[in-house]
Amino acid sequence: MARALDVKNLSIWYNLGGEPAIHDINLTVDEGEFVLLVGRTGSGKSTLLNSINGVIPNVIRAKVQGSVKVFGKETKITQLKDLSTLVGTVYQTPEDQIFSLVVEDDVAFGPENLALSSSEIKDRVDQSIELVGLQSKKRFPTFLLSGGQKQRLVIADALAMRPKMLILDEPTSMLDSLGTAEVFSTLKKLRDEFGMTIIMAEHKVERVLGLVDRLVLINDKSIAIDKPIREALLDDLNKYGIEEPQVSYVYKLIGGRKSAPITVQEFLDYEKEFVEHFKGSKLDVPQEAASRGKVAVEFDGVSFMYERSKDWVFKNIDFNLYEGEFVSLVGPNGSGKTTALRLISGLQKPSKGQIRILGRPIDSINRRELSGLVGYVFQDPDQMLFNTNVLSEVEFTPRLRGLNSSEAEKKALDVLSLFGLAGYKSENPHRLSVGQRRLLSIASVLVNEPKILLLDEPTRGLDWETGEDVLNFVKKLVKERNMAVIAVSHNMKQAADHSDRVIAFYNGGIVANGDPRSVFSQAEAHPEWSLVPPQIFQLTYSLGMVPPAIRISEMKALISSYVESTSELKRDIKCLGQILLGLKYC
Amino acid sequence: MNIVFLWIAAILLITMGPLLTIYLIWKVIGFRGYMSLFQFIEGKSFLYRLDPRIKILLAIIITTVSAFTIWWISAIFLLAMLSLYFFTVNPSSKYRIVLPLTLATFLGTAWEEALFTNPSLLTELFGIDTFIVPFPVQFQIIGAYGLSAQGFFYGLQIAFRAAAAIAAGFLLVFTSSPADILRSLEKSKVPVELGFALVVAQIAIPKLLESAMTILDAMRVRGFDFGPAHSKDPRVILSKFFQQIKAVLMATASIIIWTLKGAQNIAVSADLRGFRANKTRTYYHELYFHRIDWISFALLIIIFAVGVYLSGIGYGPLAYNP
Repeated sequence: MARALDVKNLSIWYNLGGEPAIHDINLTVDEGEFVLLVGRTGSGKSTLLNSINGVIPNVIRAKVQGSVKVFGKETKITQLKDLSTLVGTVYQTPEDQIFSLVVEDDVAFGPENLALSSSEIKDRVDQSIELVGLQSKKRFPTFLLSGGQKQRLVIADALAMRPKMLILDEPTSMLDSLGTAEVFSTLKKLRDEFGMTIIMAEHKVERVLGLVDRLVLINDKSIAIDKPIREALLDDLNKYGIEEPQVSYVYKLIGGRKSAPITVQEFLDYEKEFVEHFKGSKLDVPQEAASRGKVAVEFDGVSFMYERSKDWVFKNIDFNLYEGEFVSLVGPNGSGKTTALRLISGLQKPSKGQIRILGRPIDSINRRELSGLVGYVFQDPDQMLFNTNVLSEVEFTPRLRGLNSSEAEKKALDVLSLFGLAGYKSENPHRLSVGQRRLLSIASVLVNEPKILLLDEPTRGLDWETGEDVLNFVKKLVKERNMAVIAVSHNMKQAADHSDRVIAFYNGGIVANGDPRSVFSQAEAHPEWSLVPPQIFQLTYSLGMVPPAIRISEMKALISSYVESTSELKRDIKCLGQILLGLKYC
Repeated sequence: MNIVFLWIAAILLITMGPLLTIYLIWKVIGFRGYMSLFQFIEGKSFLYRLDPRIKILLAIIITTVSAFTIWWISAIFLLAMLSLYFFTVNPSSKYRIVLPLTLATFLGTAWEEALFTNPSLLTELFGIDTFIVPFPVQFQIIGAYGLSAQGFFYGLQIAFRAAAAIAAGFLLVFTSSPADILRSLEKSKVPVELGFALVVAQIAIPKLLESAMTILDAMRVRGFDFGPAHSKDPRVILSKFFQQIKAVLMATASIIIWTLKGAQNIAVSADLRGFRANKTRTYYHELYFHRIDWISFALLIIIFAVGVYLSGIGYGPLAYNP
């Protein structure tokens, strides 16, 4: 098999004299391999990918030591136009990579730049569109495509350059579950049917493992793990801030040391003993506290339609949110989750029905008072940061509420200390890391001490560890301040781990509202809701456990006793064998 | 007249025109309507089949002939251009955008010409120029002399020219895909970088507007009130006004940062797809003049020639004096 990529002793510095962004990387990839690149946010994954496609140093200036060869060509000395026919690139945000308003025109942009004949361009456009399954959208306006379709279009754009290798930098970080599935199935097709060499950086490890051959983990700017996927999963990936598939984790808990399963089905096929042991068994789940706090938010027959639109976003929905409760809103893109948050924050008014905040109709509360009661953290933290330094960002709201400078500064510094950001008070907010920016956006809202906190995809774009840190932090505050929290989420594992309740939106209404276990149980019969429950739920649900587990922690005690009993059994069998052979008495 | 009254009247008259224009654009079209202005949807009528170069030429001829002929020719052009929108996809939605925009251009231009035209020109055109509201002399520094009936009448006539040109320009945007506009600009020897920048701008404007609205929403949810001051105290009104100016400036800085980040990503993505890899580009859909384009081209030449003729026989750009 030919060598597709050969990286030798690669170190890259953005600032001369500063710390390198990646250090002494050695990596080889053979033609046809699918490599998953993982690591914490800021570990250097994007830098490595940008050195493979030649963006570093051809477009982004940086000091490069070592060599990167793509199909034998040194990227440092090869023109970008030549590299673009060897390596296709797909970045996070599809909107930044689409230049036309019609699908086929966008795919044609690259071949047109290569000055190919119009018949050749047509062939490439047709083939690329077919490969990503967008034939029916060939003349479709690009701005009307869904998130998943847009990212597939970007893949088609890259394929039209006829590259031998495709690199993808967190291609699904902006997509919902359905969009993510569309992109991954396109990649699977490219790999299975066309043997495309693929290198992909991705945080959604659990969902992509079935596709990849190898896992490369970058930690502290260097490669820490480079192994075939099932071997790599035997390592402790959590230690490096990477989310492991729950079935691999359970496999290791029960003493598995050979080849980690990736999917629930694989686990069921490999671990017959486990399956027999737990089939139909009972799970002791701590009873939820029956008492609830006061009603914080009340939706009473609320319907909403955007101005000049003919379609209802949702119709006649009712739900309550209680003080001290953490509720996740789930459902496909466009089902009305973010609209519900906008209604609670007063940015939109219901077309019909009534919303009450702490018992008062929302339209009787003025903007300033409402901002003191309801804090809203947007999807993209960058759109919430508009001050010149971190301190003034957090001071903004207290000042608006009439606090004098010293009071506002004291309040802001207290909150910054709480979030571990006090050391950055003079920094420009946009210079912080993505995780810090997310925390700052929450801090700038929490400084107002709201009773209700709205979070729109609070972990989007963050690695697993940082996402968990943010959510644990919020949960601590919920307890301390008896706040009510609503978080829009596409990550069902997080919804299961952190929520008291899950509300599922679908097709203009609420289709399920209850504890995560009951909502996931209902979702099993409704694939159209596009909720993919956590693996531990799928595993225990398929084993007929009553009730199915939603968190690994619920299974830990059972697994420990299972491990003990099986090891005792194994010891007894071994002992019996020894006795029979007359070797030893146990 | 009382000098204080004249100052207040001058400030009100000067600011009313632009404010009315902005009000019309935002209130009648709305944010979503404004965004849809930049989102091309394919259609099947002859307008969509026309080569974009013909539509560019149409806008040029309408603007040029309007400039050297009498006002009612511009008015005819305006009506003709507006009637062409009937052949676009979902014409009512197009009219909902184009009519307020044309009206806003019309009112804005009329207002500006009425207040800012030099009185000596008006005297030359109309024989006499009597001010209804003369502005204090200090306003002459910015070229504003006052409001007169003749000025207002002159402003209306000039406004037809601007409105006809705007209506012709939007016809191109509504009925040609950005890719086709890019191709036609390149064929017309416009540098590829400039054409690409125009097309990317056309696509980026809706995103930019959306981002601007999100940032303003972020300010609202953090307690900033963009509503009226709810007070008659001029100090409160003034303080609120300055607060709002400051908020808009902060939002603008944030939008600039967001735009620059996006621009860098777009530049990298374009380079990765071979942009400027070769001196010349080829085209997926080659643009060829068809029969309909040649007929339209001939019609445009005739319109231009008739315009020149009419101008020559006394229907030139001189203002009509009732």
